[in-house]
Amino acid sequence: MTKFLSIPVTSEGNQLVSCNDIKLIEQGSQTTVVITYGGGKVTTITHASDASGSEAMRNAIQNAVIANLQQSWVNVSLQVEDLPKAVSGIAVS
Amino acid sequence: MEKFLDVPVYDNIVSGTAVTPVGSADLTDTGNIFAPVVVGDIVHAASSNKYFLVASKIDNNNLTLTALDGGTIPLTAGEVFYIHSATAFNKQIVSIENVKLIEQKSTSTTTIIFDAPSSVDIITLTHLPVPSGSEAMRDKVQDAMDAAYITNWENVASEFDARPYKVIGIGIA
Repeated sequence: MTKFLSIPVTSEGNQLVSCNDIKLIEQGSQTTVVITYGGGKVTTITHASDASGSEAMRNAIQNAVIANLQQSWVNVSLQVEDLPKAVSGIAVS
Repeated sequence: MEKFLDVPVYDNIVSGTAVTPVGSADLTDTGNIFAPVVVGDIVHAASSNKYFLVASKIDNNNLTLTALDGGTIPLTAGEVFYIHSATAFNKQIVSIENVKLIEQKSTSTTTIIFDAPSSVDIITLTHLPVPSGSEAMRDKVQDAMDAAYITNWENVASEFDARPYKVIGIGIA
């Protein structure tokens, strides 16, 4: 079952981020959330700065991943709304 | 079927470097750094990698401690420490998909090793210490993984209660 988050990115519309084979989601910094996949691929979501020590964006992404994986297989992507901070970019490495 | 453990990770509330202990204190620092600390909070002395609980707060610069794994008190000047809340936490999900082995790596770390070609697929849980020679935390993770896999597919993230070995950090490398 292939699943994606559909994340609004400022001035770029919505971008799909895979929810499959995620190993860990971390608050990389005050402006990044890092998703690490099996095999070592890393997706970095860059967002507006959050308070020091806050993990609100990581928690929001985690909750969206769980919600998406709980959906029927015909719901491939989940529109992510009400993120606590605006996303300015998404990159994979 | 993607499955995760939903792990409470106890918040880091204070970090610093110990100065020479004052009077009966076991941990002393300056600047009222211990203002948010309460009795029962978790002290990780990073330089010596020992764990303590806050036994009492003399004032906002001085604490007394109870050693959990044989650490020496008072903490000496220069010891780097991190204090974690005993009650406040955020939850972090940890994959249990394609797990090959779970190991009690040390008294205070448990690793989850995945089947993947990359060396970055090892997740390390850092937690309050188990007794020397015990593999209690490994067993807890194994049991939680077993339990998670026999739940309905819609139960994507299963609650993981690590107590008394509270988790204070999770990393992947």
